Amino acid sequence: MRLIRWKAIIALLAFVALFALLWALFADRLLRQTTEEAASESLGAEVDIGRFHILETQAAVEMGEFQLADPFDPGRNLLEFDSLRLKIAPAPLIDSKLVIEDATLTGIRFNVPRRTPARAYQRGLTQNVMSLVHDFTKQFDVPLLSLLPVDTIQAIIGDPSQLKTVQAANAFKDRADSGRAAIERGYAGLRLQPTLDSARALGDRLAQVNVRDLNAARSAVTDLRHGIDSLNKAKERVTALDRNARAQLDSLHAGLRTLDLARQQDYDFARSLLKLPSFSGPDLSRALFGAVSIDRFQQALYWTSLARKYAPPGLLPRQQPGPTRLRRSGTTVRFPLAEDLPGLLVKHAELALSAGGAQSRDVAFRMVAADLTNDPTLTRRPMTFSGRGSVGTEVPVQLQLGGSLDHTTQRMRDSASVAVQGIPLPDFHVPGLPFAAALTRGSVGLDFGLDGERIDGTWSLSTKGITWHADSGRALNSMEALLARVLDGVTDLDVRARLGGTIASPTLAISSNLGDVMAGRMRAIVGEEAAKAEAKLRAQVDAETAPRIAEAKARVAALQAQVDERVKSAQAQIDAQKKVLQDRLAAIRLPGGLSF
Amino acid sequence: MLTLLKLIQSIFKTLHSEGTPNQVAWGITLGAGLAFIPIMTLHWALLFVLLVMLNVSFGGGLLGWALFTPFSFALDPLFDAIGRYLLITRADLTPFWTRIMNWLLVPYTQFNNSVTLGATLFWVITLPLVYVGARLGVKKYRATWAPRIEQSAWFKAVKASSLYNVYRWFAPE
Repeated sequence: MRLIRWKAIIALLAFVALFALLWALFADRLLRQTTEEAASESLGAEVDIGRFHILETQAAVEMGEFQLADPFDPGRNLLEFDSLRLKIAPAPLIDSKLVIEDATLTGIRFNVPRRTPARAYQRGLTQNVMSLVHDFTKQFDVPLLSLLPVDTIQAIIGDPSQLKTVQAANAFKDRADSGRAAIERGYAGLRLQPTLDSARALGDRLAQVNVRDLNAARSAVTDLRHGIDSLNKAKERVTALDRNARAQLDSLHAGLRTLDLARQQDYDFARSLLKLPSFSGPDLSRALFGAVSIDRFQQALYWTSLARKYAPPGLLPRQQPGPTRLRRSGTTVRFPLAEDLPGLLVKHAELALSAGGAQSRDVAFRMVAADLTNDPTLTRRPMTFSGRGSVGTEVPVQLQLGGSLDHTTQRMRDSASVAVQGIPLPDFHVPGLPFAAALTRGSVGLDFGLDGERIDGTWSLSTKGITWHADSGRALNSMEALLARVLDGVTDLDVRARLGGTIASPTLAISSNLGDVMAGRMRAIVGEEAAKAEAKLRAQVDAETAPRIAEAKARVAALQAQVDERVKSAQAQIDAQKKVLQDRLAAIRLPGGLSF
Repeated sequence: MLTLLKLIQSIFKTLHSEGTPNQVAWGITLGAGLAFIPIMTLHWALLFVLLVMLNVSFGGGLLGWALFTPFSFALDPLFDAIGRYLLITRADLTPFWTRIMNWLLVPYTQFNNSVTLGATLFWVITLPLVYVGARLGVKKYRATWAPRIEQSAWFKAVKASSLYNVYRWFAPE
């Protein structure tokens, strides 16, 4: 019997031939679908690839009609391009490593509306990054603008138990009761009455001492001294009680001050319910441009954080979900090896756009990227990209961008900047107010840096042409009509948002000429109405909180009076009884007038 | 349908007359490997080539593959646990895996996937047991059940199918 059946080699060859045929027929489609799925999962946003072609003889891949959806807006594509050609190094494929020697991209477009909404792909790692970004954005408070007349304001405080003063007053009442009980217990613990009774009885018993009986006299002196000692100790206990009681009262007085602070917070809370605008330029700018600024920064943070997750520093094993299959996926662990190639490396990528279409050789915009990898420790170089030029043929938009992702050390430093000039700007709707503005072409800039956990970012927008119009079918109220006249005088727009702090505790400051102009005019327009509204809401807050605060103050005052009275009374009684005993002691004299 | 018929044919032929119990048992053992180890891995493909090229029962291989596939799904949590223990929990093995996984072609085995590693190890460890069990089972089947089944009408119909000739290419010699 032979070990190998050679006849079967024909079947095996037939199988290989069949596999090759199937590959030729279906590999492009299969890999396109796999790439779409993997890219969508990895980026947390739908990726669609219209064309995918493997050029086996040239060790290259071509793909086209590429769309990447915006993870924050399913109705929009963040990026589209017509064609991408990847030149792949064949040798590293043997080690299951993908090294792209050269990438060429053409026909790129940004922020394109989608025909159909994108599917959600927030799972696993991208879900973690998205929740990090959501936690980040939730930390910003963007006030709403509103110009409701005061007479439309209904009861602001629907549930008084929401007020901090009410909550604090209830807590304070418990504290005051507890403090009074503690003082009562301390007073009872003095056992003052038995001490005074004992001293009184001693005084009475020793009112007449026979000084001729030396033993009786000595015994009387000793008893009197013990009695005086007892009274001294009782007085010390009273002093200690007084000290403790004063401390309790100090604490309660501090509590009263907290109630005043809580009332101030309630004023602020009620004011926020009223949606009265602040009249400071920065606050108004924040209300006007806070949301749009945060949108830009959250995009930057999302993609930077994703890059940090996929390209972390170091060579520790990295876990990721296994391949999708009918069987359980399991966990795949990558074991990077020092002195080896990264699992994925794009050595050089270039995007070139021609000014005059495909036939033109004049390159209008050129962008290069280098050392894009998932193992930055192995390349020992930051990932970089930069581009400059103009995009678009009818009215070219000047675009300049650059950035660096330095993950070569444990402290990751990422930065990116984009400056666009002559870009068509979308209509601007004033949040909370029935106004919108049509903006002419302008400039937009974004600088974003993440150094470890520290954020530093700037977003700016400017345009020289604004046309204001009403954004609602309803009639404007008197204040809105006044503001509309003010807005008509604003013909340009200059916004600058500055992000700082850390991911866990960011700061955002926004300034704009529109905010400044509106602040000046709104102070005059809305000032009187706002004063009325504030007075009304203060009255509402006071109606709920003043009785409670007064009651709390009365409790503290009563307790203080009680402490004063009891301590004073106790000390007086002790002093009086002590004087009686001291007099008795002084009256005991030996023959010849000698004192014991 | 044709594939299914061919599979049934080959399985019955195998159990009844084709090959020695030894060849059938080896076929079933290799088939168990094909069932346990996730496909699209290098060693799965190698195992398939071995089943085709080696003078073992191909039908036995198909039988083992069909027989153990449900078990592979059921045992996936166990494979995953074994793999996770060796790849993740045992940090002292990291240098070993780092070296192994950077050898030529080894990444295509996907030994760095917990289910693949666990399943492969499970198959290697249970290989003697499967082989011995299969050998005894085939012997007992041929001695007791086979003569009765061979007399049944449906078995004769299956055996008479012309597709049986295709299977003959893989029949043990």
